[in-house]
Amino acid sequence: MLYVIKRSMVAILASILFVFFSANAFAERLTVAVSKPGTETNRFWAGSTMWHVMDPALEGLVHHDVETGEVTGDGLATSWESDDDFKVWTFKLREGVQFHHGWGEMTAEDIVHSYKLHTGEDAIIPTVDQLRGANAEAVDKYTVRFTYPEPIKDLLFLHGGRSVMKVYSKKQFDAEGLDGYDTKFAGTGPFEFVSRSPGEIQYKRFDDYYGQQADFDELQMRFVDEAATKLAMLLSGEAAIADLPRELMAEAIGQGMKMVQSSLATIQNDVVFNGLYCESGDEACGDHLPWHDQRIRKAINHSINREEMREVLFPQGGADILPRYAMAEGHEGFDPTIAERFEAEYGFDPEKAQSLMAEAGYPDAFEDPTILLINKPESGLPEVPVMMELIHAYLSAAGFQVELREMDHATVGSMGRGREAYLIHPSKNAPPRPTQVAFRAFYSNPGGPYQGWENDWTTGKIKAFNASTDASERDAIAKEIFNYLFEQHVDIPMFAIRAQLAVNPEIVESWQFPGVTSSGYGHWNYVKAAN
Amino acid sequence: MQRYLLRRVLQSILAMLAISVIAFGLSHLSGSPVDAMLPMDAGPEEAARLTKLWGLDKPVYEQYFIFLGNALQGNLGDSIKWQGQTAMGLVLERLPATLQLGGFAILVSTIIAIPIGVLAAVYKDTPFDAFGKIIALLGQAMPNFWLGIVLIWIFAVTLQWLPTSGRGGLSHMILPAIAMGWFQVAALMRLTRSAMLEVLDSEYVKLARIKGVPEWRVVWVHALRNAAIIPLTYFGLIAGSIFTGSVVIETVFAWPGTGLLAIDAIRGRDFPVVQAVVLTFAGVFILVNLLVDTLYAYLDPRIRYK
Amino acid sequence: MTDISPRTSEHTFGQKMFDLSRSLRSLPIVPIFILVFLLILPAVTADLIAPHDPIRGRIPDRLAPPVFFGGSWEYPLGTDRLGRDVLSRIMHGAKVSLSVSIVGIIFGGVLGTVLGLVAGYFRGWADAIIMRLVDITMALPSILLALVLAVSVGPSFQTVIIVVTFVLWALYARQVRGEVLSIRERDFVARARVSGASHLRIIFRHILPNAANTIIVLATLQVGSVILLEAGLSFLGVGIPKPTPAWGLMVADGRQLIVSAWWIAFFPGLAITLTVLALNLLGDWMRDKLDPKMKDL
Repeated sequence: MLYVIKRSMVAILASILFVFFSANAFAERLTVAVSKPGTETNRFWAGSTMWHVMDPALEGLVHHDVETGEVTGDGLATSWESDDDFKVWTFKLREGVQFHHGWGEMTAEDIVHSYKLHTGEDAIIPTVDQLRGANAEAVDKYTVRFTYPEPIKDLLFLHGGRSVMKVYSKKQFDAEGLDGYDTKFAGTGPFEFVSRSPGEIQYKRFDDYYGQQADFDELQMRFVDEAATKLAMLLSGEAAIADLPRELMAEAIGQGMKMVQSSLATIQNDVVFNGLYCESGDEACGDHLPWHDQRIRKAINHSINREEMREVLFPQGGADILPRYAMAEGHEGFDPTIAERFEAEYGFDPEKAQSLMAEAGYPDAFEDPTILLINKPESGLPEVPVMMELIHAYLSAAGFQVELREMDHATVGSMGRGREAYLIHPSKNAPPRPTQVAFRAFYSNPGGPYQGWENDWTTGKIKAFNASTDASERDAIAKEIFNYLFEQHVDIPMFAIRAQLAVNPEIVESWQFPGVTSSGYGHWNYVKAAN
Repeated sequence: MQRYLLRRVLQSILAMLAISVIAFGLSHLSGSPVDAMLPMDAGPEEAARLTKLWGLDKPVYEQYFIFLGNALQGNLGDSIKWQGQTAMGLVLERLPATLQLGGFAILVSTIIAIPIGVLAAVYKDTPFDAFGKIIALLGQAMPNFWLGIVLIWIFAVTLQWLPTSGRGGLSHMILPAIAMGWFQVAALMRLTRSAMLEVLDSEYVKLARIKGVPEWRVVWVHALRNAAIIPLTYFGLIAGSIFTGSVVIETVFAWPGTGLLAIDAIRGRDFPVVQAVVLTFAGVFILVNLLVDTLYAYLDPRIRYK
Repeated sequence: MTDISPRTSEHTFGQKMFDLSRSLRSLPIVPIFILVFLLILPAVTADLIAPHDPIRGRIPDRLAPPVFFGGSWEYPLGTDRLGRDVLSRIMHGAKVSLSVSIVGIIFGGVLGTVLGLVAGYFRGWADAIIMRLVDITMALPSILLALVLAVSVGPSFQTVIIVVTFVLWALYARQVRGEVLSIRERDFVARARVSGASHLRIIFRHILPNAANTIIVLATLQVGSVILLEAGLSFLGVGIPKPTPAWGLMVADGRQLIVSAWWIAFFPGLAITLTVLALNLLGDWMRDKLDPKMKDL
């Protein structure tokens, strides 16, 4: 009997000690509840929507300033230059940058190797088709040069944003191949990869990092899609940071959590009038669509109360009404007068909407007056379904015959590539892209099916813009294009949104990130520990 | 017995073959992984390149025979969404988590259902009988995701007794297992109750009572032991509903099992993984039912000759 | 054979109903009350009695709490995030829940019953094929079918009905076949056969009425599970699409706000729970009265 008691005493003592030590051991661990990445793979080039979970370990060539978001020489490349027509780009690399897990110093060879990986057969990152086509060469140990056949003005964007070329170790690849990357890849970021299991990824601080050292010893990311569960993890202390939907933010703050937000807007949010593939001679032009009529496009814009939507969707602020999609301050063609004219051209005005509809003869003048509104979930922006439901309500209140239908990214993408996406659907651009990239993606035929706004005028102007290497001429053309798109009401611009996360103030004191990299948040080495 | 077994095994193989066609057809019906993986603004050239890379440019029947040929050698192909991993590897990596949760859920429902069923039989037509029935039926009446979230809020956030989510020790399993298992309680309890009523009425139990065996022993040992065989067939049917439940419960509790994998794979149109998941679950279901039937045939000789 | 026990005599449908009416004394009043006032009445009269528009809300009134929790009688059960009246949405939702269940059960039930009758009556290869199809259907996770349908054609009322039909038909076919197997061995079937009745006549005149109990009990019990299935599909985003007021969708939609605006998900959740509970109690009672043999469902 005595023996049994003694044994249980030992067991109890042992478990107390265990709890004590394990609590201590985990004090320096940062656990983050984030939305599930699109893919769980260590091959960045072959993944989608996973930059937010790879960001701690992998870096592109250039860094962004945490406050201004501007490209800086603090990263792997310290300086760069291009020739006058933006075809030849030369990067000077930082000396002494170490790869994780002892794979040695980063050199120009690693950059060339990474370029090959990211433009290979299995590459699917969004920027791949722009990245492609260069001749990448290591000039010397710390100099790398890309030579493109066409001018590529925004190359830096392809090396600093979210789904850009990340730098992997060539030495590791030569020794272990892709298997080595799959089990334990080496990057150059502030955290090094430890392990991955279904539903989570673990990092630990990389002490030889050349830049700002991370505060936390360990970083654990858990992939949770259910928002209520994420909030529960945060409130119960299981996670210190959670990327909550904005409507749960108030709840978290009410329970003592704190909100951190990006320095800049990370997402330009927009609703697209798709199906207007109307260059002359294009059979696919959706001229049967109600929104082929510019008055209807304008009426739809006037039917929507953006101020009210903003209050509903973004109760914690951090969202501005976006006057012109794809246009952003700091990029070419930015025209501040568009914002001034926005209220008159797009503002909530049911009467104007009614008279425009009457003028266009809606619904009788249209073969099929039904407005097909697509509710398309957008990763990283959980507000979209509510937003679409609100737009549906506004449009039906205005007298439009509107049908809300659910479709996902793949279906809309496939319809778009088939040039038959006769739909109005949300689209998200994170972060705001350089003007040339944006034009290419959204308003031109070869770029793709995103927007469906194509006509001879736009295509001609974009060609002229791309061909020009004169800065002021480019700016003037871009301005002209933006004004045209604005006056044509080619889409339904919604909001410019900052990334917001909820943090536990007992563990995290602050976190500053620009928001232009990753899907809104990143710069994990800038997470400041409390105490 | 051997002929019966042989017939059942042959039937199962045919069923699996049919399911392979369905799994293939279903996944290819859902669109193309190219569209799921590519960003919206990628052009047709990129799409064509990937279609070729993943072998999706071949005629569909040819793709099926390639799939079948590889499947017969135990190779279900490489995942598209999880580059660098095989489809079967992904399923096998996550299957233990689902089986563990499913098994524990069945255990939980048994633990709740059997005492209620026994007591409901003993106190037949009393308030207890009705009360037990309501408790059991309540589990069948609540949407399971709703129950899961409520459980998290009560026990993990408010009381902080149990972890909210994720896979870990025993404590991680309790809430998801209740959310998943409560549903089965009603059926199990009903089976136990009716089986107990029958057994309690038997000569055997009457004899035990006459012999002076204490009443609690009569009920909990003599009668229950005999009644417990009856719910056995039910477990064959549960195997299917466990998977259906796991898709929802694993999402709520961020439980890294095959249910979550299935959702991700379907949304990503990752054909090889969708096929692997469907085949695995159909296989497990068929196997469990084969075992249960065999066991039954062994226990009840009449079935073999039917 | 002079022994005419209830199981060997032929029952007409009318006689069955007579048996049922004899047991009306033990009618479960509360479940029926719940069903009438929560499901049937609102479903039929929602357009007349619902105080507000279920689809178009007043945004300034959004997230108003229920009347006894600081709200007003304007919105007795509060409003959701778009300012829509929860009570009105529940009333209109009854219509959706009821129609999904009825349409789904009719499709699944008819298909399953016909195939079950064929399999049980004709035996042979028809039986073999149908029963293998049943096995395959039961082995395929229905939820995956729902997900695939939703991603390929987009979720809609129709896809939900397809999934419900898929889930139900196999259950019916199995159960009906079992019934038919025992009914076809009985004397009245043999008599009908000897007197030269056609197969069709035997099936519909003699066998179907005797299997009716099973079908009715099954249908009652399945209404509840269909309502739950609809909720589960909505949770996965593959159920009835927005902005239709369906109960499952309302719960799924409000689940994030379970702490701050609990009423959005709670009341439709309560409606589901009470309705399904009542249906199951009613089904239990019918099973006891009509078909005591059907214990293992």
